[in-house]
Amino acid sequence: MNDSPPDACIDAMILNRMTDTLVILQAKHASKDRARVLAALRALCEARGAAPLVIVEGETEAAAVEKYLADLERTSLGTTGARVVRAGATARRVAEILIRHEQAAVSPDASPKRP
Amino acid sequence: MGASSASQPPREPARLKPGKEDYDLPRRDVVPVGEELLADADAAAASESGWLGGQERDAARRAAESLARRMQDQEHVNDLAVAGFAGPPYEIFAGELAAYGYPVILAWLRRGTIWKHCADRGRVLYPTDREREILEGQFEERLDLALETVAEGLKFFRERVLCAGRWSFDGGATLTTYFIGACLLAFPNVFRRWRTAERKWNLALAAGMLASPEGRTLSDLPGSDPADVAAGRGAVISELRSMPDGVMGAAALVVDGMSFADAADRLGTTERAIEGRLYRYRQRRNP
Repeated sequence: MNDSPPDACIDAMILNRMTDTLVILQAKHASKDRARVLAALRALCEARGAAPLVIVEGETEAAAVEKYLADLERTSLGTTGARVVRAGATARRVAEILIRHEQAAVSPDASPKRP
Repeated sequence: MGASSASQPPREPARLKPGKEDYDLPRRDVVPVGEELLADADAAAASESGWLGGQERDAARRAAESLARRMQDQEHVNDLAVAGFAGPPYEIFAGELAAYGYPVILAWLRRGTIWKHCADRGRVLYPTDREREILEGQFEERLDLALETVAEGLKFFRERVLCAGRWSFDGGATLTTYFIGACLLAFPNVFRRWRTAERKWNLALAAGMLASPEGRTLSDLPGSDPADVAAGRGAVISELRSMPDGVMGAAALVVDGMSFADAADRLGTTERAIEGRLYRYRQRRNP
C-alpha cells in the first residue's frame, strides 16, 4: 500500500461520484446541510474543469469541504489501493447502501421524502 | 485484524459520544502529521541502509506508513465524533467506506474466498455447491448480497464501533481494515437471509406451480386466429424453456396474466425481486 500524493488531492472520478451520491440522497431526503455541502462539492467539481471558477458566495464552505476531503484522503481510505477500489464504485450503488443505512446516518434536519 | 482488535485495551463506551464536554479524545498536539512521520521513516531507513536489508527497510516503511494512516484515521474519527457521526461529513465518510467495501465483498464472493475470511473470524458458513455456483457465476446475485452486507456492516460499524469508541489507532488496525471486519461479521446473517429467499423460490418452483405456462391470457385473446395463438404459444413456451429456473417461474406467471405482486405472493418473494429478475434477464438478452 503506497502513500497518496503529497497534496492528498482527491481524484476527479471520486469527487464526481461523491457529488452524484449526495444528489441521490438529497432527492430522497432533502436537508439544508447537505444542500450546502453539495453546492460546495459542485463548485469543486467545476473548478477542476477547463474553465476557472470564481467562487464568491459559499467560498468558505467550498474551502472547508476541500480541506475535509483532503483530510479524508490522508486516512486509510486514501492509500493507493483504496483509491483504486473507490474510483471503481458507482454513485447509484453507494447511495443504495447509504439509503439502506440511512436510519443511522440521516442528518438531523432531514425532511420527509419528497413526493 | 482480529488479533490486533482483540488486543485493544477496553474503552469506556461513551468515550467518543458527542455532547459530552469531558470526552477523552486523543490530543491533536501529540499526533504527528503523516508526512513528518514518513520523512522520519525515510531518514531512518537511509541512515541504516548499511545495516538494514531491502526487505527490512520496506517493512519499516510500511509500518511507519500504517501508523501515520492510523493516526490520520483517529483524527478524522475524532472530528466526526464531535458532530455525532451524523450530517453530510459523516455521509461522505460513510459513502467512501461503502465505495471501498462493496467492491471488496464482491470480489471475495466471486473468488469464493469470503467463506474463509468469515471462518477465520469464527463465523463458519457451509454454502452448498449450488450456492457457491450462483454467487460465483451471477453478478446480480453477488451485487445484491454485497450491497446488503456493506449496509449492515456500516450500521454495525457506526453504532457498535464508532459511537461505542471501540476503534482506536493504537489497536493496530486501520479504519478500513476494521470496517471490512465489520462487514465480515454482518455477512453470515445477510447470507442466511439470501439463502432462505433462494430456498423459498426453489421450493415454489419444485411444487410445480409453474408447470403450465399455456396462458389463458394468450389463448383467450378475442378474435385471435387459432393458428397465430398456437404459434405464439409455441414461441412463448420455447422462450420460457430457455430461461434459467429462477427467471422462468416469474416469467411464466407474468405471461399468465399475473401482476408482479401476485407472482411474488405465489413464489414467496417480493415484487421487487420479481421485477429485478425479469429486468436482469432482459438486460442479458438484449444488452
